[in-house]
Amino acid sequence: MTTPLRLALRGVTVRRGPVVRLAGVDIRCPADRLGFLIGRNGSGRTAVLEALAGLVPHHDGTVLLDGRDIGSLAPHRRAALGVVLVPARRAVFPTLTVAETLALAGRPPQPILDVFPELAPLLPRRATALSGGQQQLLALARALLTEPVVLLLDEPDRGLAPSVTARLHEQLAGRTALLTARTLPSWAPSSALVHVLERGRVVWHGEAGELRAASRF
Amino acid sequence: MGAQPTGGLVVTALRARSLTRRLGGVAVVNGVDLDLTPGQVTALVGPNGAGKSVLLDCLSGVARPDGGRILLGAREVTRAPCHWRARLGLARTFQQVAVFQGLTVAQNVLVGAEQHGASGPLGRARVAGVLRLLGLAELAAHPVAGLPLGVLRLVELGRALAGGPRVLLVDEVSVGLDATQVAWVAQVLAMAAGEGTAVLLVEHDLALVARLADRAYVLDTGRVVAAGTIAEVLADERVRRLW
Amino acid sequence: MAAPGLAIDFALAGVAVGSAAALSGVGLVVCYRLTGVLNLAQGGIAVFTAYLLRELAVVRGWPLWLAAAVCLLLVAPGLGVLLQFGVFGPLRRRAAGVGELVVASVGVLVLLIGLVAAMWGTAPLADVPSLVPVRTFTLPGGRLLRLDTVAQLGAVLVVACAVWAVGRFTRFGVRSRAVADDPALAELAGVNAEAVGAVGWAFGALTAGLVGVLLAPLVLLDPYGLPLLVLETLAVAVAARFHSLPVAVAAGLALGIVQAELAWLHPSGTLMPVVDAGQSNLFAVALLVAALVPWGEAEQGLVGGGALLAGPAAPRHRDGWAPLLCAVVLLTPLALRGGGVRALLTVPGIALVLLSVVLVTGSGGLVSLAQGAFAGLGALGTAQLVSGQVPGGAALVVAVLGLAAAGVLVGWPVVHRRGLVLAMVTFALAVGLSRFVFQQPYATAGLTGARPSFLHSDRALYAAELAVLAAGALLVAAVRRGRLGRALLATRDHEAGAWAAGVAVPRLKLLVFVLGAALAGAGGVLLAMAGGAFDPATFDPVQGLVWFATVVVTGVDSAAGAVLAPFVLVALDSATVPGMSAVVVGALATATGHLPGGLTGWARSRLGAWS
Repeated sequence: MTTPLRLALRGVTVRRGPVVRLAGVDIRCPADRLGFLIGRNGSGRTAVLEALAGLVPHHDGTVLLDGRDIGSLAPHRRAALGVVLVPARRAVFPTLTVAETLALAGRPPQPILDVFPELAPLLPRRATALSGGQQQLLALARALLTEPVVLLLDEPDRGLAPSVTARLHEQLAGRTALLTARTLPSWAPSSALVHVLERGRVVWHGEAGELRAASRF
Repeated sequence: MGAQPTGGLVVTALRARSLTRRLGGVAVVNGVDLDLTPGQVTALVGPNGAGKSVLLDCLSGVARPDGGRILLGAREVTRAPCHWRARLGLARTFQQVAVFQGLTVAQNVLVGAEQHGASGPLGRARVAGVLRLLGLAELAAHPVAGLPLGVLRLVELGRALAGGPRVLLVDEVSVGLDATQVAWVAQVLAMAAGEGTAVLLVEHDLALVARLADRAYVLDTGRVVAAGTIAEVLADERVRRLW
Repeated sequence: MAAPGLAIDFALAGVAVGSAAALSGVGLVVCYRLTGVLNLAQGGIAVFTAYLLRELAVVRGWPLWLAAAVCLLLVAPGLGVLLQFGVFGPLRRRAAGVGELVVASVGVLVLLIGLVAAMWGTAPLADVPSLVPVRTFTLPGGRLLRLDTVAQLGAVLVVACAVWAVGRFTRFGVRSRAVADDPALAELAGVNAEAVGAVGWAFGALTAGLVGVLLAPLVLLDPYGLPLLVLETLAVAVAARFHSLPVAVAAGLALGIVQAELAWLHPSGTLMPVVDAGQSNLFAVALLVAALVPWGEAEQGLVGGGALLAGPAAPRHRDGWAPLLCAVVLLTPLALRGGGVRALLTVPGIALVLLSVVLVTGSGGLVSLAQGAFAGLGALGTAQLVSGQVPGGAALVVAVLGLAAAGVLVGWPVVHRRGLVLAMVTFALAVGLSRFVFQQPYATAGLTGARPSFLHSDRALYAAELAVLAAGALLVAAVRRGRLGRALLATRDHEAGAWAAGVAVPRLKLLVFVLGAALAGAGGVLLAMAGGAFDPATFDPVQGLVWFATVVVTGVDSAAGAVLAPFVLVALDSATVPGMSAVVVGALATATGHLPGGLTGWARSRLGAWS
């Protein structure tokens, strides 16, 4: 299954002080397919997303969006090009209401309220008055509403009730998205592209179906 | 409910009656009755925003309820400050993991032990025991800053256990842990319950709930919509609709 | 009242002061809402713009409209953009705490005042041109109304309405609040945080400049007076809870009018001194009242409402060499011959005040801006006692115990406040003590020298001071070690977590606050003895801010830094000109965005890199 490459890291190294978070990593996000970054805590999953979104500077290598090097662009420029990251924690603006947060996307909020109707009664509430799970849902809803070219989600299921995660997964089908997880989720389609990370390196990549077949032995 | 007196002894470790908490005019916890029994794991489940964490805040004293009563053992603690409840044997963990970044793993656990009179050699022995139980002995002298989330959850749990709690409230402990760590935590919680601690487990992971819990409460928009043994609750029609 | 007409005349006069206060308050609120920073430097920007306008229009002879346009539309916004990129952008991006933001803006304030004094001197000037022609209208009924009052009122309303309209009808409003909340997250949402911050600061600086050029013709312009005047209008912003523009406008106008009416009423008899003090310090009273009234839900909406000074603390370092270095540096002057010691007599006193900041803010996580005022109470108490023939040693003990008692009294309602609110409450306390105690004749009249007679030689006094300082340092070390120290660090790192673990957080905070007050008081005692008398200027609220900034610059966790810093500062002042040390602290404070952990943090990271 070959689809055009949307977003990619080529030989990217990321350091924090003396610590190497990523060492010459290649990551591919093909168009209209789900991707998973699998690894333990501290394996460099979050660093990959941060390098793609421009939150951390990278030392070697290139960040490509549709073949164009976006490695020198600031995070807001990449977001404007459609590379949208939802960080794992604290991803809402405390003093903004739910309605205002959704308004940041610059589009009418109705489509996302149809998907997540539980947000509708919360519209006038400040984000600080939401529960942890509701905050996570709000952050995801805002990102989805921008109709991103590539969606980067750091452990999106964290703190969400199962009924909500099911609808989130439906929403992700057919999009270009890169998700982090500790293990390959059972709902991942077998065509999803999986990168397994260990200590800042990609130790395996291939389709989810292959990984499942391999781990059966 | 699990609160019948047997032989004149009250066997409820923690009891809440018509507990209510309003935030910005909304009753996020609305007339909740809850009983925790020593030696049992009770699960608290429900959709996002049901009020689970706020209920935990009220029980532990981080937040003041606007109405209702809380009894810890036979003692009324509705108005008691948080640290007072903690010293009476009520421990908790937080949804956003609460560790002390400036301290080492062992010192984090020691802070928990010291507030229950275990300082000096006694405290150090208590800390060593807890760290062994959690498999953290090798990391004892490591600063917690920079440790992965999974380890931090264990450190926080260790601090909660270090005081030898009678009641333990655990908020979404499995979030951020991998399968082996979840299994480990489940074992630790089961062990704590085996020693007579009443455990309240707030959790989305139904597999973990089904494995660990004896009883469950289902919370939706601040109200208890179902309660009973774990099998009863999981079979309840209203509960299944929520998932 | 015989002449109700006169009341109206005074009210109209009050509107002039009131609208200036309202404009300043609106400027503070707007800057806070756009940038998430309480702009204590507003007075500095105001005085700089006013001086520049005079330079261009009077000295260089430019047309007034051109000079005003250059000052208000070019220089002031440019200064704001510079502040965003050089000072506050880096701080906000690394999610600096309330204390660091306060310190950075104090740094800008001190630097700008120093710059103005260096460029234009300190002599008061009366020839600042008024942007609005000095004309009066005759209202129906024969009352006179000044045109500049109308212009000020107009400026307030225009600014307030413009801000409201931008927030209501454009996307910039929500975007700027997103940036004020969390710049990194706003970038991820596609908002150019740097640009929004720059616009916010440009607008904030423009308002500050407008305050300056409108106020300057009404007062004698000197580098210190106008900034203090603007600092007092903090009362307006606090009353508005840093959010509500209508409240800011109403509070500013009301304060101006009430002040004018009080001047008119002027009661006689025993009440007079009290009313007089209240009238001339009405803004200080308002600040105190507004800060102490419970904030309720408004506190939740404040950016940086957390209790922390900065992000989670780095693991504590044990620098074995630090106490040794401090001892060597402080003991060296005793070995010197001649008058070298005399210049250093204030060092141990200041060191104790700075140590109290390390204890209260560094270990306790409480952003207290009142430590300088507690030192002032200690100094005043000593001067009173010694004047009343109480021996110096006894005076020290009584003053320290008295300060501890005052700490309990003040601390009880204060310590459960957090972040910016705590900073405001303690700053209001410092302003109140300065205006109603230190500067009042009832407290300071008839004081003789505070120096004990048996410490006649400078060397003996210095040695005695060092002994007190050593005791204070040992106290701080004892508190920061062991079980208490762990409980403190736990509370600073995660307050709810520590509380739930059984740490008696409210009692612990009160204990730290009380010990801090006593330490600062002891420092004040030493300062009074070293100076030989009580000098209210030493314990001015702005001086307190500079002391606080010194600790943050040297490293808020570093007791050694707090002990050594005054040595360097006092030496610097005596080697150059008085006030130079404040400018150096200000310059370093503006660089805190690039110096996480202060100078000691920087030194440790360099040492760590070498080893």
